[in-house]
Amino acid sequence: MIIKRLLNKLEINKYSYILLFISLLTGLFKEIVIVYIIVIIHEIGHVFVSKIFRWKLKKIVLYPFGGMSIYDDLIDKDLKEEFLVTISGPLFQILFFLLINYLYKNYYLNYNDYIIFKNYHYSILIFNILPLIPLDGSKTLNIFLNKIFNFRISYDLTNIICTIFLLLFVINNFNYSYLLLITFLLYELINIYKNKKYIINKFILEKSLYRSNYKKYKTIFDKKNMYRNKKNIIKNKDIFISENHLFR
Amino acid sequence: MIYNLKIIIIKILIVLVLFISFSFLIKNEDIYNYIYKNVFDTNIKFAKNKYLYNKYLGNVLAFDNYIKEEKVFNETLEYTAKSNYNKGVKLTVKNNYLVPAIKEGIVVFIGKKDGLNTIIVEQSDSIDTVYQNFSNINVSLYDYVKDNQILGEVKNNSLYLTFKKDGVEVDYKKIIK
Repeated sequence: MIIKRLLNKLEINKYSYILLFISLLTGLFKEIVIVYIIVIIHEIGHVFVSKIFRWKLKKIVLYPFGGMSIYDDLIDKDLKEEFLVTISGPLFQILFFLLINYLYKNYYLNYNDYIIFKNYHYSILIFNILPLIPLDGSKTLNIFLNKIFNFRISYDLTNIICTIFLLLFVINNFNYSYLLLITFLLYELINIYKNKKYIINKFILEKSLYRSNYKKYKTIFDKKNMYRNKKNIIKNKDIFISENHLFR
Repeated sequence: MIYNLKIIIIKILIVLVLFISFSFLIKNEDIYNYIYKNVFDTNIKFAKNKYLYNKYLGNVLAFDNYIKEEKVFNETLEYTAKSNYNKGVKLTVKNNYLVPAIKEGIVVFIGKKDGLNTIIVEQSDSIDTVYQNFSNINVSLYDYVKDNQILGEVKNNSLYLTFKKDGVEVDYKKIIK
């Protein structure tokens, strides 16, 4: 039942088929299967932990070089929960690799397959830790920035850091095969810049509509500077307004 | 009804027409030879495709060869004597010699041929090398092997090699000097 429901949410990006076709022509059968096994284990990690916190899963998309689980939920989620969900992907991947290591040491797996697993495990892991926009690294960075700064500033800071890293990434790793990857990363980054106004307004609206249980208070002067995981109180000429009474 | 009976009958009829017309066509010797040559006797040249792709476009999957593999086994093929054998060459090697691959390529066949354990490696220069007479095989099907990577352990002390290009044997003297 659960597997069937998850399979309904699985979506294969059209560019993945191009990669599948190329790997068929070049005979990389094992490699492509192993890459997608690792990617799916990674996504299962995210989905498993997010199910514990009862997040609404929208879909899981398989891209040519990795997966992404997309949630249809509030922006102001608990930062600890979000952190756990974010790191659970790499964590599951590491646990899976430990299993592969165990199988190899007990002679269930031959050396050549083990090398392929090792190679793609580490490359996918390190790639995900990089602070590039849709990847786990950028999400972790955003969570830590949200602990310190308000939502708007941390949003901007994440984008700036990710843009710098994308530039460094392109300069260091340029290769025609990465063209697809780099286009995707650029597209996501531009989208994030475009949606800035919309997302910040959504955040303010969400804050005013839903009552939160957060115990920390924060006094601010402009409603655009709201903090995540805190009760914001807006001070306007000696009048204090709670975030829930903004539009009433 | 989910399945339309009419459509199913039409499909069956189309298949019948195709089958019968094809079986008439194949009676003609020229067409038979053409189909046999182009359909049953050629395959996709994986190793060559990969070599060309890597040369002009780079790695197929992102972050290929991210981790530098430590080379445990790296030596060229060594033998003491050679003699003709059945369109190929018979090399006399040391007892239980570990056979390295002559050139990089993809393993396309593992099994028995002429009663001997056989590995066929399709190389990036589109030559198929047939290695025969193994007691132990270290690679599995569709593994990419690098230059001088270990393939397996030879039985007794003779290794049989045959080189083929597009199904035709190539003179071994061009390759084994």
